[in-house]
Amino acid sequence: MLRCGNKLDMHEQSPAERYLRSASVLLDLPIPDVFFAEVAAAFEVISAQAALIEGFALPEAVEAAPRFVP
Amino acid sequence: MRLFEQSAVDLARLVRGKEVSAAEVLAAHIARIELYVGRLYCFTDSTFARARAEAAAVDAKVAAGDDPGPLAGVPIAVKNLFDVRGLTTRAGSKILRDAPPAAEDAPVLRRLIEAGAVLLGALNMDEFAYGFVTENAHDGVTRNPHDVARVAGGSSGGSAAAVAAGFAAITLGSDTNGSIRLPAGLCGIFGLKPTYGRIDRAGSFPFVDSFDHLGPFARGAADLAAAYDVMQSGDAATGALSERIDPRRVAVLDEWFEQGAAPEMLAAVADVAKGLGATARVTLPAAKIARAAAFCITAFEGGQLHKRHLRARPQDYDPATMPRLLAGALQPAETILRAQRFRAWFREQAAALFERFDILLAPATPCVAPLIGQKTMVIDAVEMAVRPNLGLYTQPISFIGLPVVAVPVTGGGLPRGVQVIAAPGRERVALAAAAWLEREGVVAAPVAALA
Repeated sequence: MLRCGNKLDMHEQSPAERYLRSASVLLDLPIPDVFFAEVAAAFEVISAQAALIEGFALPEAVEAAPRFVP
Repeated sequence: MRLFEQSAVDLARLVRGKEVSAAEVLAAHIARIELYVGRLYCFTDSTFARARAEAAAVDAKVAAGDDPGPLAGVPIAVKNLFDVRGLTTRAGSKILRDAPPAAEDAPVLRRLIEAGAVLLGALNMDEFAYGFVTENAHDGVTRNPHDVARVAGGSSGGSAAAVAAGFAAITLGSDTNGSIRLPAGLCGIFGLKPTYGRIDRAGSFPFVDSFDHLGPFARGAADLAAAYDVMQSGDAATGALSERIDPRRVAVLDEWFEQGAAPEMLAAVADVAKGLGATARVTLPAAKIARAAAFCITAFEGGQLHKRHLRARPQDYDPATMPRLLAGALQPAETILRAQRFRAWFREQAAALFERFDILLAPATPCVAPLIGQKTMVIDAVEMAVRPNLGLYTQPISFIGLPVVAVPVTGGGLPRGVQVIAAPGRERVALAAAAWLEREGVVAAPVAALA
């Protein structure tokens, strides 16, 4: 049985780790303790890419393309 | 030339002309597979009994004077995320291993069989197509036929290696972020990623709905065109292969598509540009952001797809896959919405370039095939991780669904692939450019010498 939980003091964790643990609970997608470090590392890599997107000055009128037709 | 070295087009011509039987073609390929498959590990399943029945059916049609189809007797194989009647579609995973066998072939496979092709089996891949190396924790590592100490690339690594090794004349793969173009480049063969939406994805295990494409691998442009023409009904490329490309409408992509590339990869792009008579260089703006957006959407959509199994069986995933899927599924919605908005903007930037150009060129990979197990690579004195960075130049292109032919550039050494990129819906232009380069001797895909 894989244990999942918030066993660390929230104040000892980085903001990203606190986000991950909270989102995991809210979205009912548990992160087993044994894998938490690897998931956090993957989230860090994704967050670095997300920051690039966030930092790009996109015109406000641009609509999303969730169903893309090239 | 031995039968396993022949192109698909030539094999079909020989079979249709009664110069050789489909059974003989099949036997030659099975012999080649049995001799070398243990060295490369391409196949996860073989369907030789089925193949013998399909070859016999082709030979019966030829004997009866019926049309056996444009791919008569051509040996093919498919990445193991395509449904194959009687096999479990496992998509490189342990999770799906106990699922019931597929009741029917994927429609795109059915089209190839109806055209006379003969199915040899299913091929190795990165788990759930989330990788660029085909170092699969459950099924093993597919080795590069040109140097067995090196990766074949991924995620369609088995598909690329099987064609490079002469095990099959045509294979099918999928490409979400580069999984056809990248292993084609590293294995020294041709690969076609058609326009997003062009090929029916039914009967294939999905990864990222926004970016998933299916397409063929082969050892020549004519073979790619023959497979492509059978795989869909809205376009026909075979008759357009002799069309000349206007050199003034071909350009090399600069900035992002050159940064971090090894000198031999830039030389390969220069060779292709010279072969097409091109001198122009252009910038596809914000390609770095496009790669970032593709990265985030991939992790998100992939993670969403796998939530049920991530909850119940996280330990059964490949250790290289599970953390990225879990982290991806937990991303803020804001990131994904912004990435999809950026996607619409980026499409317009590419459309503006295609008003001036028909073909854009870029490396398929930043370097030649890394060693198996290699964690980092050094390019321009900068050390970077292998797995996430092999797709630097493919991800911005599949992000907006452009058709691409990956071509293998001649010149000795390990294989080097170049992306020949066309506007949406213009696969024929990219295939015609690849055919021209082949005739000029700039690109070629001889079967790897395995002895």
